[in-house]
Amino acid sequence: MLRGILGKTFRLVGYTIQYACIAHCAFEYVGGVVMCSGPSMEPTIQNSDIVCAENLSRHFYGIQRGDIVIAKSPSDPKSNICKRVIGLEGDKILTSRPSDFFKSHNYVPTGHVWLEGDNLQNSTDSRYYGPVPYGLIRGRIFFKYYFDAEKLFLTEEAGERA
Amino acid sequence: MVIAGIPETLDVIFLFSRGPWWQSLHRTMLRGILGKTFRLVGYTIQYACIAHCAFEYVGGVVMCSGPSMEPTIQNSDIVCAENLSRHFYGIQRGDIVIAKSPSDPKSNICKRVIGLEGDKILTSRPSDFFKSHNYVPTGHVWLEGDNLQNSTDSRYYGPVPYGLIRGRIFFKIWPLSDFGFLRDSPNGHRSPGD
Repeated sequence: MLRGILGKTFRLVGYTIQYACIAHCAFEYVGGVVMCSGPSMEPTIQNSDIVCAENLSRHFYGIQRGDIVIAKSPSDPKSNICKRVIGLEGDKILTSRPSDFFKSHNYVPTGHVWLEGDNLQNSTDSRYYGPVPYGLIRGRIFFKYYFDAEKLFLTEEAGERA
Repeated sequence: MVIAGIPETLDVIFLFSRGPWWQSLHRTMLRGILGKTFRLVGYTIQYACIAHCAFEYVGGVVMCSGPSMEPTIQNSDIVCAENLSRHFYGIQRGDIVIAKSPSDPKSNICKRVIGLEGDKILTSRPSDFFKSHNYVPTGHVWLEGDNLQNSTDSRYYGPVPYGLIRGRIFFKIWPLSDFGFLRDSPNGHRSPGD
């Protein structure tokens, strides 16, 4: 009896590891669904929006200017950031504020990208921590689910929402 | 799933073959070959995923090339790398790590960790009169090769984000004359705190 139970347990563990590996590889190499939090990409991506990310572009080095990417944060390896690619390696980036009299430029070094959030007033991005190495990019966001939770839970006090 | 439609499609195609024995032979042969191919592809993908996860989360064998870590690691040495430390944030000063190169995302570099985030690193040369220090920013590490004269490392491209580290080298298996755990840095400690 014990051998039967042990055998079943090992088979179960084996199947779990197998499918966990396949799921992990699917998320890593193909893509997945991600929930973004934070105000730095408004109005394009709001807080708690659900988006689809694909990871094929970064493996084939197909990330381009204007893409929204998910990357590991350079200042905190445990968290991810979600910003737009403003410049690729070799590009000249304007780093002075519009109010400055003298314009200052910086070149993006090889192997790096320049990321900025769409909500420039409320975004810590490359203007703060400098160009981000390409190796930290994890995926490219290409699709957003429009999900209005308040329409699902209609109450009398809800009023009208545009 | 696309696979479910194929046997039915084959049935329709071979329904118009002349003679009943041709019909059944074609159907079973083609369906058998297709079934075997899909099963083979399925098993290959399965085991490729498991092997990839083993290399990514547990470790593997790596061949290092280049002179930047001499004499600790020579050109074409074969070493064992483990990837658990970086997932549990257990990389320490003095560890030799493999990381993605900050200047070329397609290649890897193999250097020693000289400083962790917050450490004060001596960045002036010993011949300079005035010593200059830099602090390693949060989320970054300072990497240097053991062969200081012949190594492009953090002295060239700055501190490296922790997220680029892929694994830690802890054992050398080739050449056999140098088999065993890796030595400490021959350059002493570069942080003034030590």
